Amino acid sequence: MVRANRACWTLFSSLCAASRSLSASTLRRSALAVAAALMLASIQGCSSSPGGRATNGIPGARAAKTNPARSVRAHVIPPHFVDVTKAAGIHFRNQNSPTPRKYLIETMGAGCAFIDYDGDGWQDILLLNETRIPGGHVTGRSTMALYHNNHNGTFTDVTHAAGLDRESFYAMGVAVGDYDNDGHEDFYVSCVLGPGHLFHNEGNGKFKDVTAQAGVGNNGRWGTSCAWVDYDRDGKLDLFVCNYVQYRSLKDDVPCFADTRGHPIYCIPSAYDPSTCTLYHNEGGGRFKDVTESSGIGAAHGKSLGVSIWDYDGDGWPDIFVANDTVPGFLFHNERNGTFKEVGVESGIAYDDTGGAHSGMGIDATDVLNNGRTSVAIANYYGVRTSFYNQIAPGLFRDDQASSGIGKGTSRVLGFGLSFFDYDNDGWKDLMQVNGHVQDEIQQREPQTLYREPTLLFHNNGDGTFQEVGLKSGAPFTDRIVGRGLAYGDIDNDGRLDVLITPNGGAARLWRNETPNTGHWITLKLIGVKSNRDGIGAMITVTAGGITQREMVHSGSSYLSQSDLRAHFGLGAQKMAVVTISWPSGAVDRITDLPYDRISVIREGCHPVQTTEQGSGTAK
Amino acid sequence: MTNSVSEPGANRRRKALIIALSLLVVAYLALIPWRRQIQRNTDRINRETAAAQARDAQNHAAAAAAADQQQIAQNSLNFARAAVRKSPNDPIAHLRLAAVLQTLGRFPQAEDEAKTMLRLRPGDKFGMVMLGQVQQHSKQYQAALDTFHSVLKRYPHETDALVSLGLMYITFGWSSQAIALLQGAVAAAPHDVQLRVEFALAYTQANDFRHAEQQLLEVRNLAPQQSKLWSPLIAVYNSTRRYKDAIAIGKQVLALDANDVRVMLPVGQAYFESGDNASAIAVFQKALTIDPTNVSAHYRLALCYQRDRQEGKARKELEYVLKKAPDFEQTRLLLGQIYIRQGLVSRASVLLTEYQKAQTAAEKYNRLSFLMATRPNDPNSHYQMAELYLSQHDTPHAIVELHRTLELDPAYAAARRLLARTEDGGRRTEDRT
Repeated sequence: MVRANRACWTLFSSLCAASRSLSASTLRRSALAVAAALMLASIQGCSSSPGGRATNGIPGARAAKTNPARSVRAHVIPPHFVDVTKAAGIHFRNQNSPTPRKYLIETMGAGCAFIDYDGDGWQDILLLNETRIPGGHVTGRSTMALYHNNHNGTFTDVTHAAGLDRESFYAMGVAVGDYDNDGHEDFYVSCVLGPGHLFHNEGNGKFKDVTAQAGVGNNGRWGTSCAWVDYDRDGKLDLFVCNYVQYRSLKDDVPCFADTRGHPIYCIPSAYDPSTCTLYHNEGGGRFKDVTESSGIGAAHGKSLGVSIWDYDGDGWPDIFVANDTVPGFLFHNERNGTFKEVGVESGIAYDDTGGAHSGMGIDATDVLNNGRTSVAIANYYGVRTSFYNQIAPGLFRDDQASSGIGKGTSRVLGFGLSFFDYDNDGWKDLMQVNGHVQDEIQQREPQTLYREPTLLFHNNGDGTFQEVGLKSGAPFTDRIVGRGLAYGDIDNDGRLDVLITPNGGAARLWRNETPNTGHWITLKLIGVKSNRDGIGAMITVTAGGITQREMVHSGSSYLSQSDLRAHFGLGAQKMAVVTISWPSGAVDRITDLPYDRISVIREGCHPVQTTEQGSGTAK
Repeated sequence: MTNSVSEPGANRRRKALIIALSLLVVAYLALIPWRRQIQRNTDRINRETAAAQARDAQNHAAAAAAADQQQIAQNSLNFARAAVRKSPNDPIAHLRLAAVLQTLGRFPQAEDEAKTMLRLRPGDKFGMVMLGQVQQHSKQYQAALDTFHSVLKRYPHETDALVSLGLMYITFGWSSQAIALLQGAVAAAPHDVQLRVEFALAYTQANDFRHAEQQLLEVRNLAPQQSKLWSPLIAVYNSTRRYKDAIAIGKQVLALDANDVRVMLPVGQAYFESGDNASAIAVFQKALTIDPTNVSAHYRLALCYQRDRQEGKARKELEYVLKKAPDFEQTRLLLGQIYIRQGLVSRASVLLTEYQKAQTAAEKYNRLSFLMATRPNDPNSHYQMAELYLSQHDTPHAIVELHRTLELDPAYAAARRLLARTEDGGRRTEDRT
């Protein structure tokens, strides 16, 4: 344990096991990372202010729609992602237990997560699974899987050793967060046909199911995406769980038919009654209290599949965006007193630009245009287009799917997981979306519509428009999958964000980002002291080359999945960045001249900043 | 030997007799369908004559009513009444009078005339169909259902009854029943394009677009010049995101009738959905030059303007739509959001509150409609729908759903009680009226 007065660390990727890399490619990448790791640099100008959390929202003075300093890249760098699943030793297959009866739950898929469960500074992988249902088919045992990152491009299945080889629940979403601030990442799994599960990281490579003690079983509701959020900024992570429809057992499933001859198909959400999301307040001591009703969350009835946490009004309090399926979306505004007000309709985000409710699946909210405002993407059903909202005034959004180019590019896919991240480190977050239809026999009825669909990657042009670059780059984007879960994370700490995908009823995919000539970057791993230990909810502002980017350390987003909890920023050609961190506690840290192409671990209230090599041990 | 000599002769005679008998049998067998055909033709001619007369009367009255030419309408009514006075025992005269009265919206009198006609000629299918249609228009849906069922029990292939009953099923959201009903009807009368169009409509309601497309393509084969009949293909293609096909069909239809606004709307929609906003705007603008008050065209044009960020124009169109079609709730949402963006918060608040209120009921209605379509034999779905209808003071539809509930589950006590209360309430209202 490190003393509390060892204020701030900047740790670089250690990559100590790089020499054990198995392939030439891995060796090259690892060597690069090692070189980066060895370039230790002192941090200058770290300052901290204990109070008066910076306002991150929509400063009235900022009228520009996009950042005029956009000059990082004159051209698009084609993405180059390589499917390294097998080479990495990942042999996981999602088993949705398909039945001839066609229960709705079979269509949903299960999530995936990047989690550094052993705190070695390397992202490990967690893959959720479903279980056999009556009449369904699974091969062998169907359990979730935890893969340990070997620091050399390969992973080892440690599911059994971690105590996670349980096959009794039909898992949906996952959220990673250190809810008890003990320095070890825990995770929550939402489920259908049974309670959700909270797994406590025991710190010895094992997890313990503490659901009953914690009281977060979700009352047997159909939980989907979930997220950790310190909504009352008390330094303890609370838990938000989306719930889909009223469906507690298979008896609640509505049979649907393609024709009068009784040919079964998967039913649509309209056939079910809506549900409400669940909010658990972290009471400390490993216990949670269901505050769904008292917080106002329970007043909104929806069919929720996706959640994204973001402070859209810049008041320093996290708000909650929820994607609903076939009913209006939610925006829960944090009223700063433990309650939320649902403002979806008046904010303009509840419906798409034609006044239709989304078939909302995945969702992500962040500052995409680097203008200090919020943009939100919501994946939609086939033919409905992904919605892309831009904040046009305080508290007001407009669906710009058409003018952004995202709408047209997504008009012929059925989107699920989607995430904004900067694949080429040009300083502008791009958008990736995985797709796949829900009806496995759709092509028989609609020959033009595919069940397995390609993955899309939209390059952010920096002027409010996007262009699809994934399909143009060929495989693995053009590989057709039944995409559901999507998470991004830097598996080899080389500063290029990699991707994890979980198809429904198919093999998980790990795509390593090998895009050449990407820009410089910084990645920040936050450690809260007064704030929650993961720094979830901290708003990070990075200014480099006249561009100001913002990112909030967040759990949730995408669909059922959890991305790398570290905040990543592309810098383009810039090597200097000024970083401001507004912690949930209210403290603000400002760091100048942060070294680039490094992963930095920053402790809340750093005085002075110290650096160490990433991977040699977690800053405590 | 004699025998042996006479044997060939006998054989020949026997063969001749057999051939003659065979010919007779063949001729008789051949005559059966021919006679049936004659019977059918005669029947059809009679039916068509009566129907044509009734239709003429209806058209006459419709033209009168549409043009608001009170005098002509009165003349038409006088003419029909005179015919009844002249021949009070002529069932056709009563049928014609019923038709005129129905067209003029005088349903109780029309019903009386249809019933008189049936007293004079019990079991007459034209009279029964007329009675059913009058009952349908006067919102006696259950009575209309019973009447059409009676017609079809006697005359299983009566097209007008099939069409009317099928449409009723579709309006109730009973697409499975509509499909089952029309399947046999179309098989029995494969060249009846009206039946096929309705069949396609039922499939469309059931989201079975492949079969809907098949039916409409067949209609196009059967009646290539009657583009109005097969123009729903455009909507079917729009529903399956086949916008290029929708536009292609739209062009074919518009080549036959360039001013068909009903076709322009889905064609514009196809352009809009496929991202060609400029073409969509052009189509809707043209539609409005032909029919300046077309609310649907105004609404769709507003969507195009909104997507083009021409908010002022979008607002103008939506305000027009709200004024002309206040029941169309979606306008409130879009207009409310424009008002918010333009800082007109209080006006926006009113519209959005109204919209959200309506949405709750709409969502429930959608869910129950879907359940009824997918589980047509589930009494509980029908019962819940009845409750929803009653909550919206729609007693006629509620009665139909309650009857259906009891048909499926005669022991459904709650439905029986509710039906009794509802019908009793209806009678009391009627008495007061």
